Amino acid sequence: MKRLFEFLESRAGLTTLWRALADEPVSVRRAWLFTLGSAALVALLVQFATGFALALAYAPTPDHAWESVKAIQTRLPAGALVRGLHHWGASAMVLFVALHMARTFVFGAYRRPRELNWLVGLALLLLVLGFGFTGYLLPWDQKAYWATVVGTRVPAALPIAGVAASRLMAGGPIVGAATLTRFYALHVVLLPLLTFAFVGVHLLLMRKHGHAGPTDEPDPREPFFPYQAARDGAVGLALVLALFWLAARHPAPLERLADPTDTSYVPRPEWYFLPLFQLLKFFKGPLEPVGTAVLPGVSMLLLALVPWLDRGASRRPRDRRLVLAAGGAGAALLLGLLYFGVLDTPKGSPSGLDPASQPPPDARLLGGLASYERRGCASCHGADGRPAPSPGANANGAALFPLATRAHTLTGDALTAHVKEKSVKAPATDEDGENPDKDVPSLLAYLEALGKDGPRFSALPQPIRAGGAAIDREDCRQCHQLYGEGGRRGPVLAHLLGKRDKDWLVAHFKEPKKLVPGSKMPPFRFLPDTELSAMADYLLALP
Amino acid sequence: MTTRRTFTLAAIGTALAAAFSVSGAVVAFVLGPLRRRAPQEPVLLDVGPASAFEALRAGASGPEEILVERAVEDGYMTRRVKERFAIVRDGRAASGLAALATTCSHLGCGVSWDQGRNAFLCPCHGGVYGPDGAVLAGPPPKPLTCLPLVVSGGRLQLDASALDA
Repeated sequence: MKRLFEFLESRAGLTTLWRALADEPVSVRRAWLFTLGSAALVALLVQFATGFALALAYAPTPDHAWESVKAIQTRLPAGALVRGLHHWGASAMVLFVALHMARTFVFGAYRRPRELNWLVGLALLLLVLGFGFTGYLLPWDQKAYWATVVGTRVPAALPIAGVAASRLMAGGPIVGAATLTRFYALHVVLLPLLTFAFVGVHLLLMRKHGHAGPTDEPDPREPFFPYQAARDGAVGLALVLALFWLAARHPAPLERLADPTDTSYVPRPEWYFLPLFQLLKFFKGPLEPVGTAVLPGVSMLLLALVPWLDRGASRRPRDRRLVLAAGGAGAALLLGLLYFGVLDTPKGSPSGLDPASQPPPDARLLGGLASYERRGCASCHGADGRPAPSPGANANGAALFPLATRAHTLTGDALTAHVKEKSVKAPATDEDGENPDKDVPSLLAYLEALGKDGPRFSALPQPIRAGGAAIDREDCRQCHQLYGEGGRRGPVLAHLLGKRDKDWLVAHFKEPKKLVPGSKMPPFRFLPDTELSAMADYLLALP
Repeated sequence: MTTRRTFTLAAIGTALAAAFSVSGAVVAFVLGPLRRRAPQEPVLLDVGPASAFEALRAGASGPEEILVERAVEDGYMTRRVKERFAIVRDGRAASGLAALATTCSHLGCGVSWDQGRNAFLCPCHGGVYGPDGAVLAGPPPKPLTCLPLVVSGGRLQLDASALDA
């Protein structure tokens, strides 16, 4: 071992390098506040690693981007975890870069001779925001598309080169294939290279001038290793654990496939762009560039000039009241805009299907669920087969029978008889004299699923539930395959998203021959429009 | 006479020339989307039978939203994209109708017709447009883009040549 170290030292000077890094004197006071920069670095490394992994499976074209992200999210091993880490890592980057910058600002650590490093840090902030902006177009879902439409239009109102800048960003007159390749190239090639270079310079300059330390004496120092290294490590570890927790508990969202014709969608950007988005509401007509360019530009310029505007001898906050008040006002404005931006954001997107969470359950199970609810099974067995509060008895004193995730005592014909006998309400309103118990097979399938893994379908979006139930009730499987089961007369019901849109599907349900000449499918005009639209939602959510 | 100095200058000059040539090619490529194609002959998109909009023309109903599909040059390919337009009354047009693009003139979000307020509303920054596309409130700098509709052979056709593509 010793000889290995001697070899590395003589050939590469590694031991000397290590000593130089490890023995750097750092302040003992306020030491925890000096971990923010290294936390940002940890987040950056997480982004590099997870970003590389995502790039392996991602396809930057409008035809495949959403599908590939959906595959990452739902099918590929550890895909949801990696994407979750990348999603939350992006927010962590912005958060820690901002905190690190705020700390530097309050401590006046940008003062001579560290002016240049402040500028490098500012450039890194812009790069991080650039990553955010180019990154969230990539999934090509509704949020991605509309946020980018707004983002690429922002420069268009500027005088002289505005329209040209907007066209250059989008790669053409519309947000489309060219925008996606441009943003992808920026996100995975140019921005990482620049970030890598700037982080290198940032660290080199930090070492050159040493660590600025707290704002007043005394400033005792200790070697970086092991003291500050341990603190940095602790914060970094906590951050990584937090990212894992977030990725596991709050998966990265993936909304519906981008739909440029959906005017009902309410676009909102990621939180770190929300203040800017909110700002744009206040400047009307010809004043628009004030919100899009003048205010952000002037703020960045002021920030860049801070080392030259604030040049006294003392770094103590009480000697820099004006600068700190200005900085505080700026921060308050930013947070205020963020706050009002959040207030203005509608709860739950109107196109609230989240196909990424899970593919919709088999239509038969949803048909069974509908019949479970219609027959009033829940009054004894509870919603989702989980009897509510006091187990053992309901209001009428009857025994309660949980059905979820447990073996059923009744099977076969006995179960069918029980269902027919005990149903609280009439099974179906049937005008055409059909068998009133034709829903029983679906109900039994649902009960069987309840017994096995107790699915909680009541949390599914209403259109998915209603649509699936209608598809089961109308027996679409007579002619169509769904989840590998059903007739072969009609096309397989899978992968419809991207090929068909909702308007088309609904029009097709009503009059199949009009859209597909020679179609043998009977028209379903008699179903209410809400149900047809729910059926389209269900079909579009199918994997 | 060859000196260290002339060699240095020559070396720097050559390196710069090479770097500029390569960057020039790259910059020209990156700036590609700025080139616009010359306006082509009118692009007429079929909207449907003219009779379908009789009630609208007579003022008996509000704007009607339609989807039309057209080919758009998009980077490395030509795509067929669907776009949403609102058909509105227009007394000045021979057809009595005009089509408004449902793209907010502020930052490009999709506006939709609100029957209750008798206006087009933008969900992003609160732009409001009247039934003729004129700005009523909010930040939009211009009215909604208005495209002419012509009737030909009983069919209503949208003249999309003014659209940027």
